[in-house]
Amino acid sequence: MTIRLRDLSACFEGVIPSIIATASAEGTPNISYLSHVALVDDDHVALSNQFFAKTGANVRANPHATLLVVDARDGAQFSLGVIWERALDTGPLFDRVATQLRASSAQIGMGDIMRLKAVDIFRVVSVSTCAPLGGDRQIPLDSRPISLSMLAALLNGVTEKGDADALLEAMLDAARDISGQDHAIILLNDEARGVLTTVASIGYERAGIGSEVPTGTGLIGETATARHPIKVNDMSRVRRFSSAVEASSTNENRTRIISFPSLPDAMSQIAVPMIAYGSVRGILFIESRARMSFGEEQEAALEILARQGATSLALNDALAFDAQPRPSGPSTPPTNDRPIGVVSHSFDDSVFIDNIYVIKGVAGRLLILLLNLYLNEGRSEFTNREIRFADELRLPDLKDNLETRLLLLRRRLEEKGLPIRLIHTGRGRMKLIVDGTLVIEKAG
Amino acid sequence: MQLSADLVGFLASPVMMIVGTCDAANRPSIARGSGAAVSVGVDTVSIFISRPQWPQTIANLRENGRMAITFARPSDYVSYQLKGKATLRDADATDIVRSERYTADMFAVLSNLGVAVDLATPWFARQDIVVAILEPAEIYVQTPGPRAGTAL
Repeated sequence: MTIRLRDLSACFEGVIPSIIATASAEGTPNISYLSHVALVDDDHVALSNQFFAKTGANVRANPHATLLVVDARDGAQFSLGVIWERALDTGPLFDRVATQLRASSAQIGMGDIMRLKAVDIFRVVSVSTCAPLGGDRQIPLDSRPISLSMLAALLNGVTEKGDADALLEAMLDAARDISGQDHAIILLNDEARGVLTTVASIGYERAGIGSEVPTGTGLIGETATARHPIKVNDMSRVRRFSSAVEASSTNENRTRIISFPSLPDAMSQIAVPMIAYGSVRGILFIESRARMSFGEEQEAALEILARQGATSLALNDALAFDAQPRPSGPSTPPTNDRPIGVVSHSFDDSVFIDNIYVIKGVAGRLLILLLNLYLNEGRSEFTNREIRFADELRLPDLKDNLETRLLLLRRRLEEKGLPIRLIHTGRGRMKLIVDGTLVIEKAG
Repeated sequence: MQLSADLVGFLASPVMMIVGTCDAANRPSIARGSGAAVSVGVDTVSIFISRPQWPQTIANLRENGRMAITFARPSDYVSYQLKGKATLRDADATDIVRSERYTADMFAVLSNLGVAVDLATPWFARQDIVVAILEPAEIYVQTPGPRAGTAL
C-alpha cells in the first residue's frame, strides 16, 4: 500500500524531532536533527533553515535529501525521499510555517533558540516505512475522522441560537464534540486594550469569566495576531503557554485581576481564531490532559466552527442594534432597602460592589452607565441601541461586540452572586435588577 | 584523529545516534544506531545498526564507506557530528550485550523525559546487528545555537 503524505499528519506535530540527511556534491553525508517539519500540501514539506548551514549548503549543491519523521502516537518511523525546490523568507506560507515552528519549538524546549529566518521547501518523491523486523505496524494509524454530517449538525446547533448566551454555549458544546475534550474557553478580542477576555468556558473548576490574556503573547495571544490556529500536542517540557495570569481568585479584590481558567496538567492545547468580516473577534481555546489530542481533522473542524461562531456573534450584535425601545415603565422597586456600595475607579474603569471586585475596562464603564441611568432616570430597562449612542462610554470600537460585552458583564455579576444583576430580556434588550439602595462613589 | 576524553565520555553515554550515508547517485539515507563503543587507543567509533531495519544504510556503507553520525543528548540537545570512512563487520556477543545495555539506559533516560518505552521501542531495533567502525576525520559541534556546525 502506498503511504500518502497526508496519512502522516501525526508526524508533523513537532513532538518527536525529525532528522534530515543530505550529501555534499563530493558525496560526504551530513546528518542532523530538525526542530520541525511542516506539511505544505500533498507533495511538499517545509523545513526550518536556521543554524545548520551545512544542510542548507548541501541541498543547494545536491538537492536530494532524506527525512525521517516519527508518528508521535506510537513512535513509528517513516522515511521521506525529498528534493529541495526553493527557500522562502516572506509571504503567507512562510508566516504559517513560522508560527507553527515557534509553537513546536517551544514544546521541545527550544522556543528561544529557534528564531526562524527562512524555510526550505522540498518536494516529496517517496514515502516508506522504517518498521523494525517483525514490527506489526506497516501503515500509519488513521486519525480520528470527523464526519461532515456531524459537523453540519453541530453548526446547525450554533446558527439556530438567537442570543449570545445560547450561541456561546452551543459553540462550547460543539468544540467538545469535535475534539472529544472537556475543557474549552471562548475569549473576546478587545483590540483597544490589546487583551483577550474570557467570556465563556466549560469544564473548569473556576469559570474565569472576565479573565484576560494579552494579545500577541502566549498560545492564545499569538493566535489572535497570527490569525490561524496554533497548537501544541505535547506540553511535557513546556511551561503552560497561557500562564500569563498568575493571581489566584482569592486576591482578585486586591489585584483586580481575575484568574484564567486553569488545567495545570494539560498536555495538548489548541487556539483557533474566530474571524468574521476580516477581523479577529475572539479565540476558541481547547485543552486536554492527553498527548496528541488535536489532529489535522480536529483542527480543520474547529476552524470551521470558530468562523461560523464569529459570524453568528457578529450578526447577533448587528441585529441587537435594531431592537426598538419598549415604553419603559418605572424601575421595579427593590425588595429591600439595604445599601449597596458601588465604587468606580476612573484610572482603569474598575468597579467594586460591596468591596467585591467586579470588572474593569469597557464592561466596567457599561455597568456604571446603566447604574447612573437607573439612579438618575429611574429606569431599569435598556436597549442595546441607546447604550451604543451613550457618550459616556467614549469608545469608538464599542459598536463591535456590544452584546457579547454585556453578556460578559451579566455573567460576571451572576458568578459573584451580587445584589446587582443584569437580565437579558430579548434581542437587544436588558433589565437591571438592583436589590437594595444604590450608593455610587467615584474614586481615582 | 584523536578523540578527547570528554568526547569519548559523551559518545559512550546514553545519547541518541543518527547515521547519514549516501549511495552511488549521491542520494542520502538515514539510520539510527542502537549503541556505540569507542576504542580509545586507535580512536575509532563502533556503532550498532540493525540490518533489516536500515538495509539501505548497510548497502551504502558496503559500497563506499562514507558515513556521518550525530550523537545527541536528549536532555539538553548537546550534539556532536563525526564524519569519516567506515568498515563493516558482523556483531559478536560483546556487541550484543553492549547494545542491550545501551537500549536499557536509553529507555531510562527517555522515560525520565516523559517519553514512554512503548513509543521509543521502534527507534532501538536490535535484530541482526551489524557493527560499523568509523574512523573520524572531521568532528563538528552540532548543539543548536551560535556554535552549531563549527569544527571541534
